[in-house]
Amino acid sequence: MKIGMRRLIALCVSLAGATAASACDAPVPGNLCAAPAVQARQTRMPGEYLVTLAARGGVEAIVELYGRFGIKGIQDLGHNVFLVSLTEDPGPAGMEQLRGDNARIQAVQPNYVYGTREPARLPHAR
Amino acid sequence: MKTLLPSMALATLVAAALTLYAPVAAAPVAPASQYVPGEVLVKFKPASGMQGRMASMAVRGHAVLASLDQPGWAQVKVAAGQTVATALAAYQDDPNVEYAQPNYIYRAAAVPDDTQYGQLWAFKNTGQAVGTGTYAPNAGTAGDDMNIEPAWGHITDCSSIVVAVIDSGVNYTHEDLAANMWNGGSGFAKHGHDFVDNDDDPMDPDGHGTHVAGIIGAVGNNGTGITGVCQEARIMAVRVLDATGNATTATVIQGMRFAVTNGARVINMSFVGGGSFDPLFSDTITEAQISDAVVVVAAGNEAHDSDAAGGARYPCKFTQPNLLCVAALDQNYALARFSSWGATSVHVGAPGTNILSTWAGAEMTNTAYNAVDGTSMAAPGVAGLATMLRAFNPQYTFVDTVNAIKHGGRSVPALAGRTTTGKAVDAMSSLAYINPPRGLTVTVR
Repeated sequence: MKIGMRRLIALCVSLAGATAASACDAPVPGNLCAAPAVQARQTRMPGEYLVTLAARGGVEAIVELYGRFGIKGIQDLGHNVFLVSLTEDPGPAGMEQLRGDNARIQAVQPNYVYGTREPARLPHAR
Repeated sequence: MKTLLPSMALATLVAAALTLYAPVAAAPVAPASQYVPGEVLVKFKPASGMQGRMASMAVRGHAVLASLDQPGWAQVKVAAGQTVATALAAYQDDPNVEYAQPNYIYRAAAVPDDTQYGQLWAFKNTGQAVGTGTYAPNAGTAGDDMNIEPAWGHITDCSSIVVAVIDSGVNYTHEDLAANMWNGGSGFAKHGHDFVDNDDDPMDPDGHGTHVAGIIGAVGNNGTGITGVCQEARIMAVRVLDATGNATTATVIQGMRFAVTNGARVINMSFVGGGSFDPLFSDTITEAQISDAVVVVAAGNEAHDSDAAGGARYPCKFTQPNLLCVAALDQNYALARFSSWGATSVHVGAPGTNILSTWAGAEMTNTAYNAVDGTSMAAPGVAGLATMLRAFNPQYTFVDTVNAIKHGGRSVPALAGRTTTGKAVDAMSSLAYINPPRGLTVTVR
């Protein structure tokens, strides 16, 4: 990533952090401030989302849209995909609902978890 | 207006077209070590007569070495300095010739001299027990194996194909792996990349990826340890699993793109996620497909039906045609108790219990080996086979490779109705499988 982009992201993260405290003060469609669902087996990283920007979207679009949840970090993964870590987790449905028809953000999805899950750790183990 | 050609001419046309795709045509691009240099075998048409045959050879500067027992066949010495490929091409339009092919070399099945080879039931099941294996049964049925020794009679060196192990990293200094690691040049001097720590050192702190790498391509016939499916290989290490054995979409898609960008044509991913469709992961597998890479994945160790409602597990459940999902078999070729299955999502089975391979981990040494179980261990057997097939047939696309693995397998009752093919992989049969011709056009006027 170029230095300029790093600076921009750092600035965005700072700004987002400043707004995070008030992220849940106002009512938001879809109850976006609900606590993250507790799952028996973790299938996604809590508070982490992969945001694909549209061709004309800039990283500031991520901050504008999701900064209310407190952005801990944004990592450029290439191909216009960014890993966004949030302080508060609105859940996948909340993230998608907020994206709506935002032309600058092409897609958002959870950062899913994959594992080796060796047989020895399962009930069917030897 | 359509005019029918005489049936003989049409047959000749079809035969000539088929010849383009038959083993004869494939041979000239195969490594020259697979056939005798300076010789071809020619089958002359019955009507050609002795004079016609001699004329056909003389005009090309060829001479008969021997007449074979088969009617019409001759062993022919080609002109000095002429390659086998050129000689075969010269006969293609000869009206006296029905068929021409290289004089292939067949070698005795090669049994490597690796000291623990006798423990590798997946390659040669004699009913032996695996010394450090703990899965029961730990002794099986002779012949229930990948049938790889005959394949080694044809090819042991897969190093023309880069195979990526996207996993917990690889102990690239291991005595049985170091010589078979991918050369990433000065940019990737440690044979790959680590997307967990974001550096260029994909050393394996766990052992899982090192085990997978050994199954694919531990150095064979070096008098040490074990051998992989490929005795010589180019293994690219891509670390995406963290110290707890977990990866995320973010690390996986970066790892896959790294592998494909740097030339991997076979990718192994021995991990499983939950039941949610992952669009970015799916897109990246499609990108691999566009780059002609085969992707081999594990079915999972949850002993459930991946096709059942709520049972989907990814990446196994993705439907791209370059994807192969693998279940685990035990030493009697029963489905391993832990192995998941799926009549529409899991494609083949492969040995996955008491699998001895190279190891790493906290007690890091370069001489460690370990026998473990899992569909994680079944998938790399198939990835190794895919690598072998592509090395043996450089013109193979991902379609040819996947076809040869699926259709060349051996039917196993335990996999019937539990996989798309009902088959366990069979190295020799896949190597001998002839893909149907593609792009063939016959015009009837």
